[in-house]
Amino acid sequence: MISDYVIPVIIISLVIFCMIERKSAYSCFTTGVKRSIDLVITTLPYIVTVFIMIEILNKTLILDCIVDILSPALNVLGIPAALVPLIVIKMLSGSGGIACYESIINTFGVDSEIGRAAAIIAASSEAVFFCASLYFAGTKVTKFRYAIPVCIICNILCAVLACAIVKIL
Amino acid sequence: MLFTNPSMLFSTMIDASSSALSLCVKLFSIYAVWLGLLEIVETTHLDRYIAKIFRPLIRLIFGKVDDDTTSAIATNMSTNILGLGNACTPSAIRSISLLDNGSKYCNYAMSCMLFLNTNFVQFLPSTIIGLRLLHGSISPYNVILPTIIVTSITTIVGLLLLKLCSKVWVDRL
Repeated sequence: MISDYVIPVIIISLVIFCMIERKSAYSCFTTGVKRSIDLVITTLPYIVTVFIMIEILNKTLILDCIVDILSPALNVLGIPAALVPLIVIKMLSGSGGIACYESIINTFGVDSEIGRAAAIIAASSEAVFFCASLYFAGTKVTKFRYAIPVCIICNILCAVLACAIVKIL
Repeated sequence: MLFTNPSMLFSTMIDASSSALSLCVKLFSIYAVWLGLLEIVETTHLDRYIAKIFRPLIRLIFGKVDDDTTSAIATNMSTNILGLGNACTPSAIRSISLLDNGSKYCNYAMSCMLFLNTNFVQFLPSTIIGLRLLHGSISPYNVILPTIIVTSITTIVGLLLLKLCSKVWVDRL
């Protein structure tokens, strides 16, 4: 597997490059770790809030209602009802999307049409709301205007294309 | 749940915040490694070479941006393409803060940055391939090509949509 070697090669060549450039890899790395502490501290409040929100939506069955409401509309676009929870949860949280993908392949099989479409959907989009709350945490932005609708439209387009492409390939 | 078992609400919130905390610990370990490596990239000025490769693409999408911003976006794009997931976050946050003009309205460049992190060409969807392998798929890698095709189309469509929207809703302070 070539992909297994990608990360080790990147890391080792970075360290070697650092030695060639005569910079201390040790002090660079510790500076980076220091920056990651700040990063986690600034993002923590937002992650906690988003998690609480998602968990409440999940447990109160509001998410199920959203799925029920969206199903007919998405069926028209050629997306089977089984994939709707994946698409909705994927927008809220990346790890939730992975959990959802796993339950889909457990039910329908990895190599089934739905299983492959789910794989493409799970691989190709990231959690829109999660990213928006995390990335903009340090800015004053409160009005996202067209940014989030465009991301959602493309996520749905991606799901439509994924369902179509597994029928061809 | 709210009506059948109201006492659950509070414990659900506490459970959620504790799992958020454990996610943050995981994120810290990932960030520590990747930010450490990114620091090496930046002090050896390797990011300028990466930025050079991505410069035409960045100029096409973001228009004129300064060198610092270009290299932050380039680092973000390279981690995105390799499907490194959470490793994109630090450079994304840095790029967003560099593109920030202090307004409470999200500007066009920031919208593009958010879009590129939510839908961008994926060459190596490593998590999904790993899961497919674990579930005994006959060909775990056959999702790579469809994923590249689908994400290329959505990336182009999305960027065109963003451009169109930015003409209608002009950036403001």
